Amino acid sequence: MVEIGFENLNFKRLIIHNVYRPNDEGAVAPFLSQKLSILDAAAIKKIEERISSVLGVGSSSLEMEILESKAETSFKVASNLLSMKDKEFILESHKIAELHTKAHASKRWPGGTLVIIEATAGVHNNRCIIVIKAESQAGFMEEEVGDEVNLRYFENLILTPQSRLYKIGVFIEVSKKTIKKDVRGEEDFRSVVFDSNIKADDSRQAAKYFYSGFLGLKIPDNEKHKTRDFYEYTREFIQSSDLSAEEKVDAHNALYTYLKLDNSKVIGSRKFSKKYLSEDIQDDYNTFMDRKGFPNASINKDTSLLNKRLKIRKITFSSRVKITAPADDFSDLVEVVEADEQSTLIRIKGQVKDQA
Amino acid sequence: MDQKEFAELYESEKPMYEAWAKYVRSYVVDSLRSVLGSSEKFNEFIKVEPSYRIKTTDSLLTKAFIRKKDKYKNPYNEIEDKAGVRFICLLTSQILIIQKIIMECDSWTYTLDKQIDWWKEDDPRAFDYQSVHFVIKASKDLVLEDGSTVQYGTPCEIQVRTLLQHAYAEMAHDTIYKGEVEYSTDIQRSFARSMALLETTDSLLCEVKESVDELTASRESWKREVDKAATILVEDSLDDRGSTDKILNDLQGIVKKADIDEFRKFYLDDNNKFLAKKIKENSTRVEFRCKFIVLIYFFVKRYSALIYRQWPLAEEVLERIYADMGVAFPNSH
Repeated sequence: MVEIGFENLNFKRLIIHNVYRPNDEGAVAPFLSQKLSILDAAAIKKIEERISSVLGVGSSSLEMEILESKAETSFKVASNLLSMKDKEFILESHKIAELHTKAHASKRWPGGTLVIIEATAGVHNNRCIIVIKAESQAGFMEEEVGDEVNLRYFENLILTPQSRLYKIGVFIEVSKKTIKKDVRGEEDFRSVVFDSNIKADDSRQAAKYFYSGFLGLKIPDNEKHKTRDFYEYTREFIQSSDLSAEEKVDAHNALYTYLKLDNSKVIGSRKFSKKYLSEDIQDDYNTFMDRKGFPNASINKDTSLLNKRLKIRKITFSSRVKITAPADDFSDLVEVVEADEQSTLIRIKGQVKDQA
Repeated sequence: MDQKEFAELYESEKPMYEAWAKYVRSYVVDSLRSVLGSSEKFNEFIKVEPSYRIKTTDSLLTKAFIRKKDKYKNPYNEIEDKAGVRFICLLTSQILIIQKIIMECDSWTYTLDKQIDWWKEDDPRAFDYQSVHFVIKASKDLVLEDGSTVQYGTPCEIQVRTLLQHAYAEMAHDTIYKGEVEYSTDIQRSFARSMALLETTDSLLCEVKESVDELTASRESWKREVDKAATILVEDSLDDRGSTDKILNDLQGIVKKADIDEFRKFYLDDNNKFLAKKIKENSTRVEFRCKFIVLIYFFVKRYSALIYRQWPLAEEVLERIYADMGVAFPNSH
C-alpha cells in the first residue's frame, strides 16, 4: 500500500466558513462565505506548517476508514469538490459547514472556523480535500506606536501553534478507479484525522463527533494487528541493534511500559523512540520501522493480541537458559548487573522456591 | 693512483658530479610534484628545499687517505658519496613515496644502503638514526638537458629523512658516525633515548596525519555531493563554500552517521524533484539559496530527531523544511 505523505503540499483553492455551537433553540446556522479566500504566500506557508505538524511523519494523526453510506457525507461532498469549477466549489463547500452543524450536538463543544482546502500532497501530487476546524483563542498583538509599545486585544485568534485548538480531517485520492462515475467510491480515497481529543480516553465523545459524526469515518478494525506489528518490529530492532545486553533489557522494558502502562491511546514509532530510546539510535529505529511499512504517524493502541506477552516477560540466553517473570514489575525483579560475551550476571529478587 | 693524480682526476670530473646531482634532485622533485598533484600538497610534504652537495677535493682526500685509509682498495671508484642529494620530508610515511620514485627510475640502478626498517634485521632493541640511504649509479652514459654528459656507473648518494630525523642527524650523525672522537656510553645512551622519542613522535604524527587525511577526504566528498545536489535542485545558488563548511562542521555528528550514497539517492530521486519548487518558494530567506540546503532536507527526512537537536541556524528555517517534507515539527505539540 502506498504511504500517505504530506510533503510537497500545494494549495489549489481555499474557502473559509464559520460554525457555531448550538444554543437553547438548537442548531445555529453557519456563516457561509460566498467567495474563495485569497491568502498571501506567508499565510499559506504558515497553514502548511500547521497541517504538516499534526498530520506529518511522527505526528499523532491517525489513518481512518471511510464509512460507506447512502446519505450525503463529508466524503461525498469532498470528492465532488475535487472536480468542480470555482463557483460550484463555493456552493458545495457550504454543505461541509452544514454537515458540521448537524453533527455539532453538544453545547460543550466549541464553535470555530472551518478552513476547507483543495490541495495536492505527497510526491505523486495526490489530490486531496483538507478540512480544518480551528477554535479561537484570545490573545494580544503588540505594536510599536510612536515612543511606546501598545497591546491590542483579540478575541478570535485562530490557528496559533497550539494544536489543542484545531482538528483536521483529510480525504486523499489515491486511485482513480471510480473517476468516471457520478459518485466516487471510497476505495479511491484514504483518510487521515488529527484531533488531540482522540489521545485522551476521557474525551472520546468529543473526538467522535468530529471524525465520526461530522466526517463519517471510523477507527479501522486492524489496529490490534498494527499494535502487534509495532511490538514485533520494535522487538526485532532492539534485538538486532548494537545496544549492550543491559541496554537491550532496558529498551524492552520500555516497550512494555509504552504499550501497557503509558496512558496514551495513540502510539507511533517516533513517539516511542523520542520518549524511550537513546538519542543516537532514534533515527535508525524510525527508519527501521518505516522500512517495515509501519505507519510513520500514529495508530490507535489496541493490545488485545498482546495480552499474554504483556503479562509475562521472557528472556532467553544463548545457552538456552530462560528466565520468565511478571512483566508488571520486571525491572524491579530482574536486574542485569553485568554482561560480556561469555556470561551474564543477573540479580533476581526472591529465593528459589520450587524446581523441576 | 697517488694523491696528486687522485686530486686532478676529481677536479676534472667535479662538473659531471655536480650535473649528476642536480639532475637527480630535479628528477625526484618533478616526479614527486606529479605524484602529489598540487604544489600545495608538495609544500605540505617537503619541508626543506631539497639540496645537493659535491664533496670538496680536500674532504675526499681526507676520506680516502686518512679516515678510511684501510677500507678501500681502489678509493676513487669505491667512494660513492662524491655527489649527494638529500630530501627532507615531514613523516616517515612520506619517505616511502620518495623511495618508490627513486627505485622506479630508469636512468640509474640503485642499492639501498640503509633502509628505514634496518633494525628488523639488525637489533630491534636499538634506537638509532632512521633514514633511507641509496647509492645510485647511472645506468648508461647520459646526456643531460644542459648538454653535459654523465658517464655510465657514476655514483650519487641519496638520503631521505624526515624533519625529526634531520634534527637528530644534524646533531648525531656528523659526530658519532664519523667516529672522530670516541664518545662515552652516557652520550650514546642519550642519543638513543632521543631517537626513541623521535620515533614515537613520528608514529603519533603519522597517525594524526592519517586521521586528518581521512576526515578531509570525507569532508571533500560531502562538499562535492552538496555541490552536485545544489546544481540539480537549487536555482541560482550562492557561491557559499564557507557556509557549507560551517554547516558540515556544526552538524558533524550527523554527517559522521550519514551515508553519502543515501544522500545521493535522495537528491537524484525523481520523487524528490518537488524540492526544487519548494526551495525556490522559500528563497526569500538566504538559507534557501545556500548549497547546503538540500542536505538539510535529506537530514530532516532521515535524521529528524538528531537534526532538530543540532540545528545551528534559525528555527523557522528548520520548521519550514519539516513542513515541506511533511514531517511533524517536534516543538509544535
